[in-house]
This record gives sequence, structure tokens and C-alpha cells, in this order.
Amino acid sequence: MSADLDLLKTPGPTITALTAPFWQAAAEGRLLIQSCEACGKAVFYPRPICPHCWSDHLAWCEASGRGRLKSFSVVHKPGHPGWLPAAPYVVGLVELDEGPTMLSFIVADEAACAVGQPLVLAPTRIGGRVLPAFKPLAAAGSITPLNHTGNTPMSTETKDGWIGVIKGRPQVGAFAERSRRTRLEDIEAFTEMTGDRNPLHYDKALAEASVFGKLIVQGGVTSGILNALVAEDLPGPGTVFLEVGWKFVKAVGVDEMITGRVEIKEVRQDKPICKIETSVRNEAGDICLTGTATVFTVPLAKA
Amino acid sequence: MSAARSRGAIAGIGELKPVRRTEGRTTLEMIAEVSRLAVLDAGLEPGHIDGLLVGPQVGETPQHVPATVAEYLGLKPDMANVVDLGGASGAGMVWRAAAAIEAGMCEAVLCVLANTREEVPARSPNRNPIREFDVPFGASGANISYALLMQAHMAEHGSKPEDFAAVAAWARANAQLNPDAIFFGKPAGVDDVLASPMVASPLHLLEIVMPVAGGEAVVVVSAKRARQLAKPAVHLLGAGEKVTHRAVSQAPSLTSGPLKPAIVRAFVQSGTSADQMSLLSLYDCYTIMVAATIEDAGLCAPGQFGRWVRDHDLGHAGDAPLNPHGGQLGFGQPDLAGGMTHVVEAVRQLRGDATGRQIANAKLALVTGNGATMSEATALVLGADQ
Repeated sequence: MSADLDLLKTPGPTITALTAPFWQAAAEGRLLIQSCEACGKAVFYPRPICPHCWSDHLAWCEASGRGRLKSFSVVHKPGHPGWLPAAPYVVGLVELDEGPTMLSFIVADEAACAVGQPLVLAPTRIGGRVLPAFKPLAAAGSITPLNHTGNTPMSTETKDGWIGVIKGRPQVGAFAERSRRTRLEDIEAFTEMTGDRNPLHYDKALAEASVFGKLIVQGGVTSGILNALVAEDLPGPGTVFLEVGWKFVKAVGVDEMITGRVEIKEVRQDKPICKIETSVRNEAGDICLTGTATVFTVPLAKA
Repeated sequence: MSAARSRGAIAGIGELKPVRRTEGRTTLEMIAEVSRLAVLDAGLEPGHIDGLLVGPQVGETPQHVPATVAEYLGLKPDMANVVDLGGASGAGMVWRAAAAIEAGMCEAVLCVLANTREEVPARSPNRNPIREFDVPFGASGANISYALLMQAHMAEHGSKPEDFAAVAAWARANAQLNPDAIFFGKPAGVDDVLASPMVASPLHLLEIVMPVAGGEAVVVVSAKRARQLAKPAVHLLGAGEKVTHRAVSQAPSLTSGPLKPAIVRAFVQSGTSADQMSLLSLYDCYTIMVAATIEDAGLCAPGQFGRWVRDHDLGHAGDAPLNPHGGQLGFGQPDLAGGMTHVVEAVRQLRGDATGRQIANAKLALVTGNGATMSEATALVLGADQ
């Protein structure tokens, strides 16, 4: 394992509102799990109800960070190409002292791993984020560890380009979605704006006889939901597109519910620029637009 | 045969010869071809099929799969559903079909699974716990999960790499008698398995199924109806099912799985036991899965599968025939249809139709299905017609 783990292009977590405290704590080098106030059992991963007794009284608590290696594997052929530069690397099942088991990255080579051995939390920067990795308790040192004040060693060396951005620096893996129903008025408004009077948008009989089989909205109406997403939701106010690469793979008709989605793929530290994955789906879940974009978020927060 | 009650019968089977690539083809085409084979085999007309069980079709038909398949085949079923139990889907379909017939909902159920395979396989984006809490740590895909199960078995029971390799070698040996198997003409011994590249320790390449495209289908009817049809009926005598988790980190045990209670239920329902089986048609996505199933079925004590494999002859003429079609390790794994190969082979053997690899006087078969990370389990006991 010689690659710099932090530079890997690995898939990040798909964070939800419920799980956000776990990942926030992880970014600070801490391990948060849930504890059931009704039955007293520890719960991992985070849920709205206890999987043991179905109580909805779950409280966050900081785990001891101690555990035991239940099993491990040295991965030579990763299942995701983003991990290739790191192979071989070790993943393990960590039985936490509190009871639950989690899968984690083990900061050790094969010779240092044995089933049953005690482990300790070793927060590690992997793929641009700090993950709650573990290392053998006896092992001295680890790879790119995080100091426990929560500040990454990197951040003192590189200027933070996200100061002043209203919603702050987004996390890789964060995503947002937004839905709306297309209307005939969208077509007219877009024509008003651009002069695009393509008969496919107005001549019902002609459009129905075409490959689309229906009256369709302009591509700009479809992609427009992504403008709203980046400017309103993620990364949020102040965001503009620098570059887009979009494929319009399926036409959108009038009176269709469309859902746009953006997911943060890469975040620059020194500038408020990120690369995002974008898509628009129709009600049936078919992809209508897919591609990537680079966005810049103007710092608009008042000092 | 035992006095076990028939809960329904398999009257027809269909199987496509597995291939590595199907560029330009669709899952629906494969489903149509294999369904036709199964209905012809049963001696039924398409109009007789009034029940339909299908699997999920990632990347092609995300929703409304039964309606899409029914329309494509020109069927108008009185019962239709998706069975989504990974490698246990095939076995899971068989008892569901029989239960629907017993409930009076329909009379002849087509259970069909097929898949295409292109250079870039379709993936469905997950947004669930395994995606959020396993994938970011470097654990994508099934190989790593089964490697973790295998490592735990070795640590708990002292099993050796050669014990697991022997399972793969038997699968390859049996595949030499199945011209349709992807590894027909390509035997591999224990040394070959151990010399193959390490994918995720302790799992070697040749201990992992080869993904292929293919299709498998069966037609389930009542026992009475089956006896009036073309081929000898193969009866469902007992079934069991259990689902315990999805991600390997959440498995209640790493060395014994949900097949254990599922097999017990299938034996209790059928009034049979492991030592009565003429055939073990055991789901084998990885060598560790066969090892765990041999132990969970009670064929040997926990941890003793290595010795059990050494002490028995797993060929069709041996004392413990196990996957005479080569298993998925020898035949190839046509995605979800892979699990159904174990049902189809059991039907061939119990009919006395397994040309070139027929088990003498085959009466009873244990069929297992397994999905996800030793998470989803279905067991069937099938019996030959009296």
C-alpha cells in the first residue's frame, strides 16, 4: 500500500440527514454510534429506531474507539476502480467494544493482522475525507493519521478557498435532489427567452409522429432544474457553472415529473470549485440527462 | 419413497447454454427463449401458463418486471410477482409457485430468470446502508464479503486453503461431464486453484464463479397435474427460507448462515434427513459457501467440511454426489439464474434424464439457494415421482 490514500478517487458515503452527525464526527476524528435508551444496546449503523427493541429513543454517544478484528481480507483486486492504486490493502470487520460490528479500513499490512486481535480507532484521510479506520492496538504509528483536535494536518498548509461561501465547503458524496412537473408554459417561457420555436415543442401532430412520439420541452427546460439545484441546494447560493458535459439521452414531455440530482465528486481545497455528477430522471426513473459539471461558488456570506 | 406429501411439482425445465458475452441482446429475449424451452418440456401450451415469477432486472426494467415479461411473452397471468432474493431467487420461486397453486390463485406457474452480459455490466446506484457504510472503506462487491467469511472460518476452525480448493476442483471435475458448462474441457486440480491469483485473501480466483449470461426456467404445477404431463413429475416435498442481513458486517455469524434453519425446515416438512439425499445440489458462488452449507446441512460437524470432502466422492457415481452439473463454479454463474441451475439439475437427476452423469436410482435432492453475503437462504427438498 504505497499510494497516498487521500488522493484516491474512491466513492464517498451517501450521507443522509439522519447519518450526518456520524460523518461530521468522523471528519473530526471521532466515532459516534447510537445507544438505545430503552434497551441499553449500542446500535451501528445509525437508524431512526433500535433494531433490537424498535424503540425510537436513540441517543448519539461517542464510542471508545476500541474493538476486535473479527475477520479481514487483503484486497488485491478491488471491486471499485478508485481503489486500484491502493491495492493490496486491508479491510476488516471490527467488533466494537460496545457490541456492534462495522466494516472498516485497517491501517496495517497483512503480517500485522490476525483474527481476534485488539484494534483502536485510527482516523485516516482516504479519498479526500477522514474515515474512521482502525489499526492494531500494538502497532506503532499509522498512515496519514488525523490529530485529535479535528484539524487535518493539510488544512494548515493549504489556504481554505471556501471561506465566505454561504453553505460552506461541501462534502464529497453529498447529494441533493429536486423535482418539478413540466408545463406547457415552460415551453412558451423558454421561447420568449431564446426565440427557440422548434415545431417539436409546438406542433402536437408533428411531434407525435416524430421519434419522440409526444410534444417535448426544450433541453434547457430539462437541464434548468440543475441550475436551481446548484444555486439553491448544493453547493448552494453563489454557485455558477464553469463547465458542463451533458448527454440528453431521453426527451422530456409536457406534464412530466422530473427529478434532478447532483452529487459532489471532487472538492478543491484552495478554491471554491467542485466537480459534480448530474442527472435528471423522469417519473419512471429513466435517465433523461446525465453527465458531469464543474461549478464555482462565489463567496457571498457577509462577514 | 417416504410418505411426504407433495406440495406441488416441477413439470418442465429450460436452460440456455451459458456464454460470456451477449452484446446487443436483451434480458427479455433470453427470458423468452428459456421460457419456451420450459413450457415445451412440460408439454404445455403457452395459454396454460397462468402464474409468473420473475427476478429483478437491473439496468433494463427497474419496475413493473412481471407486467413487462408477461406482455413480451403474451401471457395474462392470474398471479405475478418478483422474487428478489439474489442467488436464492430460483429456489424461492419454486415454493412460492407451489404455495400460490395450493392457495387456488393459479394452476401453472412459469418461474424464469435470465441475464445478458456486456463488457460494461449495468449497475444500479445504491443509496442504502451497505453503500454508505461499507463501500467508502474499500469493500465493494461480493468477493471481499466472502473472503471475510472464509478468513473467519479458517481462524475459527483451522480450515486450510487446500480444503477450500478441493471444493473448486470437484466442481471442475464434474463440469467435464456437462458439455454445456463454461469450464467443459477445462479441468482444474487443487494445485491449479491454489496457484491462481489471490483476489481478496484468502480467496483465489478459481474459487470464485465465472460470471456468464444465460437463462433458467421451470414450470410448477400441482402434483396431480404433473402426473398427467409429458415428463416424470418432480415433487416439492419441503422448503425453508431465512433472511438475516444484507451487509457482511451485520451478519449474526460469519461461519454459519441462514441456510441452517432453512434446511432444517425443509427436512422437517419433508420428513427427510441429510443422509437420505441422493443428490446435494448446493449453491456454490464461492468455495466457502459450499463449505458453510455442508456444515449447516449437518453433513458433518461445524468446521469439519474439509475432512468430509476428502472422505467422500462428490461425482455422480460417488457416495455423495454434489453438483454433478459442475455447480456454478464449473457451469458458470448466469447472474440470478445461477441459483436456478441447482433446481434444474435436481429435476434432471430425479427424472433420470441426466445423460452422461445420471446418479443411479436418484430419489431425493437437497437444493439450496443463497443470496447477498450469506444473507438470503432458501432450501428445497425435491423428490422423484413414485
